[in-house]
Amino acid sequence: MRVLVVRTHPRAESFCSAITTAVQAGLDAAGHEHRLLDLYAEGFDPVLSVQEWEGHLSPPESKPQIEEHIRAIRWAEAIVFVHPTWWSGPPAMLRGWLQRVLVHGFAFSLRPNGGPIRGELKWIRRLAVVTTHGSPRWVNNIEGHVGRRQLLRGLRSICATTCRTWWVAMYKLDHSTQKQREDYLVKVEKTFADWEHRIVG
Amino acid sequence: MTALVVHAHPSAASLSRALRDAAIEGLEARGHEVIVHDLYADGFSPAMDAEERLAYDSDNPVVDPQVRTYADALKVVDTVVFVYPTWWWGLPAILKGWFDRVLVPGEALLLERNFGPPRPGLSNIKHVVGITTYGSNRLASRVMPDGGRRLIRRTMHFVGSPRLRTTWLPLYGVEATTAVEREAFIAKVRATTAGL
Repeated sequence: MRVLVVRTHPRAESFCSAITTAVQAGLDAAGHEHRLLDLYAEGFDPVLSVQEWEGHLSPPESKPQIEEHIRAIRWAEAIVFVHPTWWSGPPAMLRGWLQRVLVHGFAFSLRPNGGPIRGELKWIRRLAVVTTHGSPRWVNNIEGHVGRRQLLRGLRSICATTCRTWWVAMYKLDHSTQKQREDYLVKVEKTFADWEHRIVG
Repeated sequence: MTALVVHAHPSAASLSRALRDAAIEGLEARGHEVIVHDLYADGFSPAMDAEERLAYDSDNPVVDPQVRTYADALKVVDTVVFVYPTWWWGLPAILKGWFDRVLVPGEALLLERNFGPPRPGLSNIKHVVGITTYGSNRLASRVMPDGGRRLIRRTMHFVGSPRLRTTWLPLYGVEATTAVEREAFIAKVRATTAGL
């Protein structure tokens, strides 16, 4: 299976890097091919411009600035998001990637009567979110798990109908011990090492 | 009374901009002094960078003068109005970045030494208003996650007054609305903010 790993963190030295490495090690163990898209390292601009907004219905081919990202998603069969959760959701950088890259004519099409969009990412059959939270789980319950819903319900709704989802979260990172962080890395690696090869889902 | 309007849309020709202007008119008619954070016009960069991420956990989390200006405004207002389009089940990236970079520990949140729950740092904020447009119609919007509303309400409850009130002004199926419907919504926004 071809897996696109999308990493969002401003610091190369962060725990997020160790997590990304664990994801890749797990995918290697299971024999999956993977590519890394590191949004900060690539200098991705998360802000949708006025030209992009005015041209939001023009064809994807007219948007060379996102062409390589579209190609990366077209190559993939699964997407794994690795990022810290800030204010219950993904960092602005990842929000911007979704908004600028999942364009009309590529990721979705519109229905004439203003009903729900028609999802077009039908080849994406697995979505995984691997994310840390500074605070405990109960805080995130209060905050409403915005990121989980946006990615594993919202984004999932435009992927394959049988798209499977994984949520591998660590809470209380701010007060964690070395052992707790290592245990989490082991859990992450195992999650992806267990990704069996299937035709569907 | 002082209100902050946080606006996130790239185009001055947008409905969002018209809603922002109506909100400001309503607040001023009510006698509020109004501060505006027009994130696009201000050239706000939503992505927290490495230096800021390191500073976040320190005693001085604010390193950028623009963030300093934005954070200072939050201390003097009693009302915050967010005006933005709902994109991909949530806030535009530039507005998410406002939350990421401006609501910092030691100011928006007061952390306890004993790892207990944080206390609000902006209990001067007593009212939050969300004014937003959705691509989906009302029925479709019910089924899908509303990350914008959820994030705004819960985050502002976290940092603001324990008796915080929120008012939500949505316009659904925006691409299918008529000019009459849009004008009516603009008028509703103006009347609501004038009545706060």
